Amino acid sequence: MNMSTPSVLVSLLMLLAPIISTTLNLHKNNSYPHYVKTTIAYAFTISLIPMMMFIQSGQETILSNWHWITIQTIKLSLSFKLDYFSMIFMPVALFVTWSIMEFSMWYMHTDPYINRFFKYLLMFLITMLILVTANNLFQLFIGWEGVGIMSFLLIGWWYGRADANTAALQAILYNRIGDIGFLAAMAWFLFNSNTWDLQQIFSLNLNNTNFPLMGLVLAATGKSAQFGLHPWLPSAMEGPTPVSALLHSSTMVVAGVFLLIRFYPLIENNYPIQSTILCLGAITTLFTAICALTQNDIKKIVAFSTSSQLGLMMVTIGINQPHLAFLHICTHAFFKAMLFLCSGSIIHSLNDEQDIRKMGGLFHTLPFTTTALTVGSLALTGMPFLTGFYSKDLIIESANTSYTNAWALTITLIATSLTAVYSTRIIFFALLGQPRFPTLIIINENNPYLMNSIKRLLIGSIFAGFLLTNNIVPMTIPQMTMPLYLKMTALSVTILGFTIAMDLNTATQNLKFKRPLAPSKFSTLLGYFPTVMHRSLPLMNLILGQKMASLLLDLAWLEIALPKSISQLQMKTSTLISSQKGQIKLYFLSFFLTLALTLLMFNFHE
Amino acid sequence: MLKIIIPTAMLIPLAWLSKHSMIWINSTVYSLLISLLSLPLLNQFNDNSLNTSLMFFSDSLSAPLLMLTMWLLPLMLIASQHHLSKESLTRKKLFITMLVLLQVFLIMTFTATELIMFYILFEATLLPTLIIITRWGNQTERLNAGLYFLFYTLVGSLPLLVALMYIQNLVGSLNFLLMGYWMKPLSTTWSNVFLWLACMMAFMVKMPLYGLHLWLPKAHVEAPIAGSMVLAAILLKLGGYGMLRITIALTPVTSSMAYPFLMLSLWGMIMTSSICLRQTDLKSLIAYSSVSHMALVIVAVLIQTPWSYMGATALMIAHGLTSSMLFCLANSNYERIHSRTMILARGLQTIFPLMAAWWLLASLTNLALPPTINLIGELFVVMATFSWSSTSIILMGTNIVITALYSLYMLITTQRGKQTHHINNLPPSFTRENMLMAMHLLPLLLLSINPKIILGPLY
Amino acid sequence: MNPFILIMISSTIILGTLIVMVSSHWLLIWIGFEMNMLAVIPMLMKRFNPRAMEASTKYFLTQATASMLLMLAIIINLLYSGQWTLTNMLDPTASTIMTLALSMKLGLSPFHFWVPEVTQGIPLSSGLILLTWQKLAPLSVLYQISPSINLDILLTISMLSIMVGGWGGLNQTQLRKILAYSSIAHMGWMTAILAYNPTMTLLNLVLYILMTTTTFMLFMYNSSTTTLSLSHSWNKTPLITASILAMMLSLGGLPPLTGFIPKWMIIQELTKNDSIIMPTLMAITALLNLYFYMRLAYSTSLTMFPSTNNMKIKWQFTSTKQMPCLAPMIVISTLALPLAPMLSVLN
Repeated sequence: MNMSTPSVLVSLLMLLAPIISTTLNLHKNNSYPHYVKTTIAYAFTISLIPMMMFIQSGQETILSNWHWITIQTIKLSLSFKLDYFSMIFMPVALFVTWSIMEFSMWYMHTDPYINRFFKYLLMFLITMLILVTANNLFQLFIGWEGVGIMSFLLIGWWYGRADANTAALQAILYNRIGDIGFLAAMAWFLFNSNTWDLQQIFSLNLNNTNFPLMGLVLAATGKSAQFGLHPWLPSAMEGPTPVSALLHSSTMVVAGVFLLIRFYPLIENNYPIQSTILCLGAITTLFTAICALTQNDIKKIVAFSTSSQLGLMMVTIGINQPHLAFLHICTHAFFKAMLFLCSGSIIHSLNDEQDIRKMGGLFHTLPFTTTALTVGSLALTGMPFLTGFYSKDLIIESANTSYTNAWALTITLIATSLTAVYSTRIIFFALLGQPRFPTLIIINENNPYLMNSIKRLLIGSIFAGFLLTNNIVPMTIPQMTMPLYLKMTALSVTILGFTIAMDLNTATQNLKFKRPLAPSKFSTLLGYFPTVMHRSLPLMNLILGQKMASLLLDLAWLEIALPKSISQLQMKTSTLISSQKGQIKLYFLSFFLTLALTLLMFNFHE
Repeated sequence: MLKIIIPTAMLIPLAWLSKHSMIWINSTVYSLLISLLSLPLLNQFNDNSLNTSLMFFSDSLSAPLLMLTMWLLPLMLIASQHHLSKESLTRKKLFITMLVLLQVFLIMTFTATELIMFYILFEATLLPTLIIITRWGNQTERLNAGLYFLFYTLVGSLPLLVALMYIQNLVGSLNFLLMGYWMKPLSTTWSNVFLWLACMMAFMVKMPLYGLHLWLPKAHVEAPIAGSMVLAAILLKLGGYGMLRITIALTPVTSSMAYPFLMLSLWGMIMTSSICLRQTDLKSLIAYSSVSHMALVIVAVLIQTPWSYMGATALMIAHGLTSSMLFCLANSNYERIHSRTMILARGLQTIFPLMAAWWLLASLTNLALPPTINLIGELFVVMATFSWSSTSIILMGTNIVITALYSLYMLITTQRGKQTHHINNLPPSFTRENMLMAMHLLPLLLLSINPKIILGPLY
Repeated sequence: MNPFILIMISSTIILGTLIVMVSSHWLLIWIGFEMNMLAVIPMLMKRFNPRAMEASTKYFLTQATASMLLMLAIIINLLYSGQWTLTNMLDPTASTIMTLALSMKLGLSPFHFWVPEVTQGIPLSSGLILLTWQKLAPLSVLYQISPSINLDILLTISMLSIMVGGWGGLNQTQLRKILAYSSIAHMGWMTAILAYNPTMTLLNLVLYILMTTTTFMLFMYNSSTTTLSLSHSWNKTPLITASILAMMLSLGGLPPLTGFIPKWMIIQELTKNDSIIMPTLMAITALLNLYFYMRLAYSTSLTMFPSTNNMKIKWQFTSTKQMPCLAPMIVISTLALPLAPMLSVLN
């Protein structure tokens, strides 16, 4: 027994305190956000203890404490898996959340329901940590669904706006499609391994795991906004910026990737699945990078870049480097959250202006944000010795040295190059050049809540990768030796991207405006995906629901088939039977006929 | 069991003899007391049943349903206070009498040992329900709804009576406890196929099976709040309960006869959920969602594995509480807006924030958010269906997606968005209403801590 | 009507029926029928109006025909057996004709046309006698000859009656006609079980008479002969409207009420005799009856029609009508189902 387990539990249980305190009157207090933020800060600090102990000893723990239910042969209990992934991810998530909470105290300070906002964020964090630490599929599913619902609530935070509600519904819809996969996987594991406990699933030598793994890939596709189920992520930018920063860049959206990482013992032996993941990731990363190129909404660009990075993580899993993918999750959390916070700072300063064409020259007025944004973008592109470099460079290298799928690797490289392009685009349009925003805006970024939160993440974006890579032993060892040109590929494509972007940006200012070309349309219309898949399928379903299920079947055929036709029949028969003239001769005729017939039939037939 | 039935029956004199101002309070409190007193019933032994007398028994299948029934009476009383506030005193008392009568019948239905007694009481519940629907409903369509309700159920269940008589001649007893031992396996002849149909159709109509469900939206929509609540929460479950009970006698015909009904249910589940997506009428949406959920129960019962039985039982309880709560919410909207049309009551979150919280929770339980018992029910059903046929996961998954969609569509339309301009002068939500919602939600949450007690006999 | 004459007439009616029931001599039975029929005619014509006149003529003609056929059957029987004693009929022809004659008297299906017409033409109180007391005599004879009746004829007649009773009533708004059709349907149920278990017929008859009497009393209390006037009764006698609801559903045979006992028992007996389709059909067809009872219940007690009326405060005045034993009758004819286990004494 060591300190590790209790301190993990303490840092988890601490988070419940602000939720429980809602039953007291504290939540009506102005200091509630502060209270929540401090709690998370403490939780972060405490969670560092088990992380360090883990780094020091490498001791994985499974806590199984509350027996919930035993259904026939399946025992379900509340159990936590404190292994490499959860031990590292917990402090990262807590750290990012801490900063974002602090940022929200600045960003949301005019919101009348700020306390509720904090409560939602906290509940999201709790569900996320449940997801990360869960040791059985059911508990994982609780967290999985929990983050989905919290994302619904947080995207729809400004519930008066129709767009926000639509986006929230979209998020749930796509997530739910993913859940089918999760449920299928759960069902498969139940019937083939008779357990939902992760370590038991892994210890069994399961054959033909294609089906459950495809299910999990579907689940991950939904949650991590991979190609096919990606449109919800950009739409989710309707939510408040802290929400985008927490849910849609650093924590919730990586849950899908995290799930696949959790299942790497199964995936690493299953090449078809690896290949699927690789291709899916590659398509996603390229497609969303292309979409990011022509966006004008600053948050949307960052969102697409998130999607693209998620694709990159999937690629990493696809080339059988789950630990590397996990490293990228951690590093990505820092700089992507910071990018969102910076854009939040800009948006808030410019009176809720999100269009990068209406920004410009912000490096004068918002020097700190500019610094952070630039560092973040550079980290994102994988500039050497910033956080992103440590994971991204390794990913590209191992992709280059692996022998799996040249096509997928090529488009991943193109996407990497495009990352640099759109990052430059943000910097160029928002920060440099002449101001294009209204002159009467009072811009001030000297709020400690804003400064501290971004500052913390800025430090993280610079050093976190270094610290993480130096302290954590990668379990799957990447390629160590390679030719120089392969080593330089990542860097060179990025630099290529920068160059092109610079050139293009300069060109747009000096050259004549031309009618948009087909590729440009492809990018601005998000690859025609919304028109083709995103809108037409639900429309079809809705029409089906109305025309076929409701009007044709329920209100027409089923009514006609049973009640209407029967009542019609009864009415006809009834008129037939009860209409009579009341003439006695007819009565007697009927009597006579009956008598005659009966006697004939029953008595004189022999 | 008499310790429950007699006090429940005594609620009738209580209502008639109470002071004018006290009829609601007295009856609510006493019915609540009864339901609390009967809580020990839930403490069932694993594979034994509590034979309290020759006539009545309860086992771990009937106990949760029984508990749900008893829990719902105070809730119905609480919920219908506003609806009846303009009625005369005698009519109020009559209404309470009807509810109590229905309650007595339901309790006896769930505890009857004899199938024929079960049948009589099963039919007996029609009468008070019919009166509640047609006497205290609002629109004129209620008459049609009442007729649909009565005649669908009766046409379905009269063959059951004949079939029960036939089984009695065959076996010599209609006792639930003995039938499992005495019944010989049926051969799959045509007559046994018809026997199966006669036995199952009564309950399938009651559930309702897709295609035979037309009475349900009508009855749910037109019934007053207490009627909708009891219909959705308990009367539909009578069908599930009956199916679970009678399938013992019908092995092995079920395994071959189940296919068309399984298909129909799976198909109907998708269809009814799709209808939900296009509903403009709030109560109708909830009613169709009941059909869709009950289709899952039918599927589960017909698959006949321990997991599916557990899922069916859990889903029945969970759906009972959830749909009843949704109806209560719809009713509290209706009492303020005076319309069931969703588009006329938008953006209520700004006006009734606490109500919005209840709406949120109710919608979330309806879409089976883990770890509520709705999820446990649905999950088990999905698991069982998956083991029956792995491709059915596509249909189940589609249904799960659509369920989430319409639940949230309902939530968003009523609570989110901008409020309409014509809504004004809304009375704030009463403590009574909040209490009502809390009392629905509390069992849902508490049961998810220990779902064991609602998983039925095969647990 | 002069009380003296009334007493005379009613005692003759009673006497006629009693003679039929107690005698074992065919001639006496026939005489009993004739006495009863002739005495009922003045009852039917209590009020002298063309409708009553027409009704009683029709009644007379059909009953006379039936009596004649009865006589014919008796004589054929005499021819074959050589005795007047009421024993099992050996000759199928005699039995067939006898059955048909009695069905004619009862108003069973192919001979049912007169029942609604006659009932509609006469006052409610006479209708009560016609639909209850007048069934006793023929049924008692049928009961006694039941072992020798041709089963096919009996079942055909009963099934037809149940159907006609159901369908005929659907179209009516006149209460007396509705009750007439209901009587046809009930008679069908009674004859269906007659060959298998005559005791059940008696049980059904008793309960039928009980329920019909109560219903008639309720209608008489309101003096209503149409659905419309029934729908106004809520502002005269609110309690009665509630009981009409229960009565109607009981007549329809909805389970928790008395009316379910005979249906249940008959279905059980038929099933015991390996007849499955017949009871199923009968039960489903009985739903037609339930439908028109439901309609009455709807208009009486489950809705308040927005029609104007001048009787809003009538419920304040105590009724002058004397209805002895109305309350116990209502209770017995609706709530007697829990007594069903006591039926085991019948076996």
